[in-house]
Amino acid sequence: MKNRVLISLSLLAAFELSLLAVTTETTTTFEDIPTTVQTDKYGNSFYERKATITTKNFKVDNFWSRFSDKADNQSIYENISRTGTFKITTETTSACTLDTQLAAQGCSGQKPFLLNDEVLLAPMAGTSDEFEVAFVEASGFSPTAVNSFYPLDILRSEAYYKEPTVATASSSGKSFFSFFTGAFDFIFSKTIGMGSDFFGKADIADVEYTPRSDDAEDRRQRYIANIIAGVEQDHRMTKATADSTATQLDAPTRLNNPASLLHYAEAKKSTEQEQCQMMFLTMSADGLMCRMMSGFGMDAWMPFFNKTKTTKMQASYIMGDTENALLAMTGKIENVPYMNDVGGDDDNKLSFLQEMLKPMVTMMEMMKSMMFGSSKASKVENPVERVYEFAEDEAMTMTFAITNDGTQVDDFANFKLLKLRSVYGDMLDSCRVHYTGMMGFFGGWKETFYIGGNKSKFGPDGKMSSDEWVEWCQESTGGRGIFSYLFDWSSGAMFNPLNWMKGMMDMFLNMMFGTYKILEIENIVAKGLILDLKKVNPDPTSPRNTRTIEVIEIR
Amino acid sequence: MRNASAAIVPLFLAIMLLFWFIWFMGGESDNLHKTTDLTHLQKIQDKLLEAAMIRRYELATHKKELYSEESEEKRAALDAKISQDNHIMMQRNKIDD
Repeated sequence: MKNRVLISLSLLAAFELSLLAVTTETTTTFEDIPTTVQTDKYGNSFYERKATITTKNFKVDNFWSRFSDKADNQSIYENISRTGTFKITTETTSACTLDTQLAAQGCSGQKPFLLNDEVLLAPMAGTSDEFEVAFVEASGFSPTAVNSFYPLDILRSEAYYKEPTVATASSSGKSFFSFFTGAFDFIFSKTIGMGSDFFGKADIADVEYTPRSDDAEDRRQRYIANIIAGVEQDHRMTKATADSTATQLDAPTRLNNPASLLHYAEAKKSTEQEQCQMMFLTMSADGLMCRMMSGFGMDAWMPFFNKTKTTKMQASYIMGDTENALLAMTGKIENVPYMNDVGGDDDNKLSFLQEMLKPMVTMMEMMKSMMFGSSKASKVENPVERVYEFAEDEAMTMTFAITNDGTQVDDFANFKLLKLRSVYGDMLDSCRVHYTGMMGFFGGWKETFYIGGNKSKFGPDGKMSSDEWVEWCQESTGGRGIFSYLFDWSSGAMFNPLNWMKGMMDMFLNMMFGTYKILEIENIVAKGLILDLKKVNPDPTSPRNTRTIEVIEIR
Repeated sequence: MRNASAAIVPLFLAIMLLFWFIWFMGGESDNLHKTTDLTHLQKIQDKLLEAAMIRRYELATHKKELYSEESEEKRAALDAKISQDNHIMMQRNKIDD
């Protein structure tokens, strides 16, 4: 009995061992090797491949066999396999990965920038994949430019920006206070202009400033949103193909249909605001009161009365927006607040003590310039360059649209933003003078205003070219001090009484009969934006990019 | 015996039915077991296939400097590496020996 049990057990063991001898093994095989990294119509790189996984001799232990002789101990399946075709897409979504809310809304890595395909043929010296591109407004698009990028306007839903609210007009109620407000408005408003020479009304040039329309503001907001979050998934541009309707990039007449070069000229002008500030009031600069105060230079002697002039940068708003948006974005990625560097306009507000000392300071300054002269305004100041460098592995990846002739998107390219350069340059642009006839005051005041460039000219004699005029202004800004007349080394002996006499005469003539007195020299600030880009294939393992896997077929 | 009732017949039948039912359920349990295991296997295979594809893509694109795809042999070696990785995953899942 014992033997029989042992024999049966050993037999069973042998049988099981023979079963175990068939090993289970899984193999994976790949087919259709893709030759290169392909890109889809949105410019995302993708990898499409077919693979098969096969498990040989898959064993399932049977439970019932312990109670039934008929059942097998184990079931063995020779081949269990799955074959699938997968498509892995990598999209550059630097912003989206930072903000989960944005990802939920479906933003992409496409940025509203257009590049000429010629750019890609001209990498920076010493590199093969780094490019230096300067911002150029859409109106300056050239199909052959090798170093510029252009802004695009791409329609998107209102998910990331707020609809501009209609400004509610300040209500003028019938109260005592509103009566006073109205009275002040009446007295200080520019509508009381006298039109006479006495207050110098006639030649005041109107500052060219057209307020941006709601439509332009709308486009601006959309443009910024497109830079920061990328073009929305639903509104992405597509590559032009022979058989499909390409993404057309037409003139602004066909805006957003679905993409166009962005150009809003009305946003290009500088804004200039002149104000008279008293202790509690701010008056219109063209008001009667203000002109009376500042016309004779009284404001320089009056504490708490300042005629301020705020000139915003004369740069395209699109360029400023591009720079700010990119800096904000990279700053967020790198956790460095780059935006703090981009300063606003200085207010030049005087402190209380400074206000109190104002007459004295004015006096001192006048004496100083009388004795030692004053410095001349330079025509072109040294350009200031701000360079922001970004670590390459941290850098923001952006997808640019590539075009051949500016009419359609031919391709896309992914770039890493390595460096952002912001260039400023000052230039003497306008010069404002007081014209006085013979004998100073008695000839009456005449104010002329000149704007450089293509504006009409008001030369001192009406004949000067604009360059000559600017030159003249420059020459006349700095005055010679008394000492410079007295010790005129160039004219010979220092103690020559004749020289002294001549110097004195010059000085008095200049002081009394100087026909042009320069009130103001205005510099315009020209601004440029240059990006250093590195062409990359989006890294699928980087958290900056979004990787999506699509199962095309599985069976 | 005379008094023996024919009512015992359905009782026997019922007991036989019960035994048959137990036998039937045992077999079906095995079938269910097999189905579950096979479904499980296919789920794992799907997952591994997807993971293999992602890994293969990463090796081909991101870690180019480590795994170049210049030649047919190197590509085959890459594929084999992925296959081996999957085999190890299957062993950890107690499927492969």
